[in-house]
Amino acid sequence: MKRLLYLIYILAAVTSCVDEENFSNTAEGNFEALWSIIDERYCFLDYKAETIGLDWDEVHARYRARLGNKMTSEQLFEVMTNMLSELQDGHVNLYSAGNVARYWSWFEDYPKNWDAELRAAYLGTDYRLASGLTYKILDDNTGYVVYESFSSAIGEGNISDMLYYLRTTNGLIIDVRGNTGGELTYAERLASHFTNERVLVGYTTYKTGTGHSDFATPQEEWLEPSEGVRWQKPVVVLTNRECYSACNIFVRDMMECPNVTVLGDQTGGGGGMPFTSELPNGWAVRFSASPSFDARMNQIEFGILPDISCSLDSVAALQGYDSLIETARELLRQP
Amino acid sequence: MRLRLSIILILSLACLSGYAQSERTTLFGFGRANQYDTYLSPLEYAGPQFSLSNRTVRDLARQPHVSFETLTQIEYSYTKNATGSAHEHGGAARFDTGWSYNWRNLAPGLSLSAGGLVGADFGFLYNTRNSNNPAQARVGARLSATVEGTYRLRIKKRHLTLDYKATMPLLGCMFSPQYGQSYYNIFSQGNYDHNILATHPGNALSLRQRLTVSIPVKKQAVTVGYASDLLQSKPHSLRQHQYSRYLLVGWSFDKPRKKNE
Repeated sequence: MKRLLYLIYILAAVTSCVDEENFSNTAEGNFEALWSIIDERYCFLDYKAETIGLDWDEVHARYRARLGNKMTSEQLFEVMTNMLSELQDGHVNLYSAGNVARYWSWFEDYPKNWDAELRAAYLGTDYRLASGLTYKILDDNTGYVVYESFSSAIGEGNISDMLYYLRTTNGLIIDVRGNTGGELTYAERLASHFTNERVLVGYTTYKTGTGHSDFATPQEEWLEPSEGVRWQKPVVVLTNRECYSACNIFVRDMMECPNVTVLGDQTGGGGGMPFTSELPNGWAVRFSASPSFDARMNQIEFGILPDISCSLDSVAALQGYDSLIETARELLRQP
Repeated sequence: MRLRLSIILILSLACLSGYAQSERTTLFGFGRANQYDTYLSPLEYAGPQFSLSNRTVRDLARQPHVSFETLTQIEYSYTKNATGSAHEHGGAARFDTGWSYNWRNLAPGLSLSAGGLVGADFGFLYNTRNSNNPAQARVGARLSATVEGTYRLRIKKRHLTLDYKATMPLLGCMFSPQYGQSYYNIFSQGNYDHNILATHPGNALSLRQRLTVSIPVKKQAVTVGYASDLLQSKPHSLRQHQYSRYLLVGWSFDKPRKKNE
């Protein structure tokens, strides 16, 4: 009889209903739901415990104490925003109907290192456009390409046509300052025109369970050479702290390509592919779910250091010179 | 090996043996679905569901106690979360086919049958608000056990047919990303990581039920009924369910005997 009862118990346990977790639509319920989403699905808890001393349980206790019975929706949003800021992650957002919580210190706390009017002056009015790529040949026969957002679609044809047009130049400047990311596909597509060989550019992994350390074995990421026009001359990639997410990946990939120099400031980072979830009150949550690493298995969540560090000279800028572009031109003039 | 050959031979003979009788039923379903998939959201979504199903049952001529069945169903649901701030589109095409053994006239008007079905699903659930985890593919195959009871009764010169059918998947496989794996990682980067996994009642306890009444009208029969689909799974620490309840309305008709189809 006992055996039969055990059997029934085991059967009931393994075949139970798949129901949702019950977080109520109250300040406490929404707070706990948000904390749990990050606790179970966010991919940098261990890494940020090591680097910035993040203790997610301690964060829970500290912010849980700030909840009140009569707090308004705005107040709850503020508490949650502050809690999420502890993660120091630009890929983490909370979306209510009237506001977006964000952590933008990864670029707001640093010099901008580019100027839109200065860039426009370099491009003039006779620049060419290939979908999201803006380009022209500067007067010293340097190719200059601006890609403002990896959300702007670019195809193989756009890139090949552009490189073919620029083929007679001495070298190429790819200016991705201010590019805060977009589609990974476009980042890889553009980088694939700067290598003739298959190149190991990094690793990626993802969570396999709810534990902070539950990750799959990191998998290699290879950059395949494009079948279109492939650039064989020197390239300088200009970066600043706003280079984030897919742009961060582009810089990582370009650093593994031959003849490429990265010049400027450290990138902003954003090494985790973001997923979306939501709270009982309908607010959406975005969080990093799947981390990427460089080819030496270093984290790139807090950015990538350039080969050559260079800042925008404000005095030269007043005279119409972008010191990053000018330094790049000098580099490309060297034999 | 001998057993396998015997099974193939029996199934082949069954297919070639012709049909004594065949009944086709087409049903429209209107109801509600509750969609839950933690890959997309920790919240359950609810909303209307529509379905169209077609079922053909043929009694085999040489094995009068055995019938061959095919069931095709397409369905679509449009669901929203409790606050209405996000929506999900769900769609599926389901195919099942198999054999049943019939015990006819166990009591006046009462027949029972039991059998097995082999089937496959091709579906999706798409969340309109998500970024890199916008959709979940619902693809799988399964072997199911099925039981059916039919009772024919007469009310005011009309012969009504009450039919109840329950189907439970016993063994199969399904597609699922890992807990935090993106579809970009699987399909663009080509990283397969046990994305096809075995299913059984321990990790995918599901049950589909139909209760219908058929009322003869001339050479056809009008069929109305109620259906309940309780589909669940727990792949890779994710949790999914689709609970659907809907009213059925349609028609069925008998086809004349065909020989050696």
